[in-house]
Amino acid sequence: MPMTKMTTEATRRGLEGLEKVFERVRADAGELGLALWLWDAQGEPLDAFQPTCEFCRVVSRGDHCDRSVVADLVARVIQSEERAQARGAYGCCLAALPVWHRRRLIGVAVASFCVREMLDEEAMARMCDRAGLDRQATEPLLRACCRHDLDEAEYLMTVLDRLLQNEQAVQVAQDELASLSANLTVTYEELSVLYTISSSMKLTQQPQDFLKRVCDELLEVMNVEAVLAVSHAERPADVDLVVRAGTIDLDDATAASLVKDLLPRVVQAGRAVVDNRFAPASALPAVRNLVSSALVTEQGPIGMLLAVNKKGREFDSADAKLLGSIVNQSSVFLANHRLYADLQDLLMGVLHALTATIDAKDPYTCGHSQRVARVSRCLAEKIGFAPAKVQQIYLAGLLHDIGKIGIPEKTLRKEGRLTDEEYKDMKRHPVLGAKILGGIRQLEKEITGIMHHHERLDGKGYPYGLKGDELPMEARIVGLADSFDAMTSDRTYRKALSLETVVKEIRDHAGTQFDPKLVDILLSMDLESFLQEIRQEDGKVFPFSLDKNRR
Amino acid sequence: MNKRVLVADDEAYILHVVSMKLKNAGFDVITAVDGEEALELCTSEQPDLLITDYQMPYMSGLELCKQLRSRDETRSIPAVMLTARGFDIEPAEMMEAGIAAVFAKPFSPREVLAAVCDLLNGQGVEGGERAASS
Repeated sequence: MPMTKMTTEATRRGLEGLEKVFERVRADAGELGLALWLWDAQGEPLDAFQPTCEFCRVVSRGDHCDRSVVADLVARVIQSEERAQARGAYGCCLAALPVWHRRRLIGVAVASFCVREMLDEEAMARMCDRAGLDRQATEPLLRACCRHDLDEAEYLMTVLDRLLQNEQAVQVAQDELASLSANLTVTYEELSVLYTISSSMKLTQQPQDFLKRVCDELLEVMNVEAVLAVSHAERPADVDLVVRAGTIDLDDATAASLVKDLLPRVVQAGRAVVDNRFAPASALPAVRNLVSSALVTEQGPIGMLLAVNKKGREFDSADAKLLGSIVNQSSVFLANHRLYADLQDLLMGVLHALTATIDAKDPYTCGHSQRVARVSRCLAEKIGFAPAKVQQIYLAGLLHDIGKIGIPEKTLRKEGRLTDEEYKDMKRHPVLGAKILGGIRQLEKEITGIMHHHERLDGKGYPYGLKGDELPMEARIVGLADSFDAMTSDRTYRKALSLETVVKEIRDHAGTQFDPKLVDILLSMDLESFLQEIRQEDGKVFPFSLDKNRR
Repeated sequence: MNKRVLVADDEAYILHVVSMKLKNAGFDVITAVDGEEALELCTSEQPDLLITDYQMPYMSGLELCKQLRSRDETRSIPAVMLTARGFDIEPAEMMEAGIAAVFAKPFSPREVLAAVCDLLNGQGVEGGERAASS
């Protein structure tokens, strides 16, 4: 079927990347004794003729001896898009066939080869006369290169055609494989980022750590100069976090104002927006192009993720899709984290309020619960407990006296010694506390520390007289923290003891009342500054401290 | 007879992925690597549908679609566009060029196949079920 004649540009393109194909086919043709010469579809040779046999080298003298015959032959092939043959001046065979690429004629392959017919006595004599060649010298040359008969030309062209087609198919397959492999690699990298990020979404992780990881991963995969994450409170102006990966000359304030400028458009788009010709109102020479997407929660936008300055090319929709997908995941994480932090704040607020009510009943224990909580946390950290366990011990410390809510105020506020009856009543507070909190599933683990904080290693404590190994670690910690704060604070019936006395008291009761290992940990600290530190935080959690007003 | 789809893209892997999906679903597939070739093939081969990339050498996918609409013999060939650009094609321009659907790369081959089946009313898609269940 005749094809439309192609444009010059398309022809050039057709030949592009085929150099390797021609090289391989030329080598194969050489093995068959064929000298291959390639012409383009405009009838111009693509390169200089390269003879393959000695006879050709002698008669061609640097150019094809039948150049004009070949040119005519090529023109015929281009015209008819069919194979064609001719004889050269010295009798060699010239066979030409069209070369196709993607259904287009892109050139003509011309094979020239000496044929056995040239060895005929008379023909050889005529030829030597005409070319002025020495017959004696020429004959062996010619004998060496004449490997085919003239009537093999058609068959040889078929072989050559197959070779060309096969080599082209191999080239196409190789190119396709290279393209597929390159793309598979990119896709695999992107998948791995999505996987890495989704598996690192732990609620206990801080947003800056999470966003840093996101930025680092994106920097690698997107092949950009920098990735920035900016998060803000309710108003975009209240930027609370700028995280970055890569290098870019953009300080936090500028990044924040850039986000403020971009946010309305990106939020409206509802997906990642590519800006390949970045021209902001304020000149930012550091930014050439960028792709940005808004971090959004149900309450509205809370920040933005930006990839800046694509290396080597512009951003495209694949970049936008990848960033968009990461931003969606990040938004979910940040929204959950804010919710988690809010709930955590609410819980802590409620618990602090609860303990403040006990402290309010007994003004002289002002802030006691909170200090015991802090000392307990400090001891738990020094032992090397995991953060979750440390938090649990902190709460046990905070709530250890919650049971005092059920003890008459008269007893709590009594100056001087308690009667036996009053003391018996007072000793109920650990069990009472455990009962009060017993209904809260989330505080199950804290109850042990609360219930047993008045037990002693020697079994002389209350309420159960637990001994040695029976006494859980959280209760030992809270117990020591409780005694430490009681001794270092003023009480209704006495002033705070001197630090020296406190140290001695604690040391004397190591092994009987207190866990000796905990005592070592506590006493190895610089207690003076530790006490200051503990007391400095007083009122921070609950600035409108009830007990202070009453004093 | 199977429906015939022409896929035009200068990226070998896109041609490969889309062709494979369509062939598995029972379509005959022909391919082109630039806009000019695609236009020639639309005229000579009269495919039932065209899937074309936006950015191609010599003639963009958009120009290709506009050319199709301007010729009687190719006017009715429905077109689906694949795009790697960072922004969308204006709806007015889509209408003018007669583009039935646009997919931004990276697209899901499954969704492209669904759109093709939809546009061809599911006719001649013998392997459609097989492809859908695999």
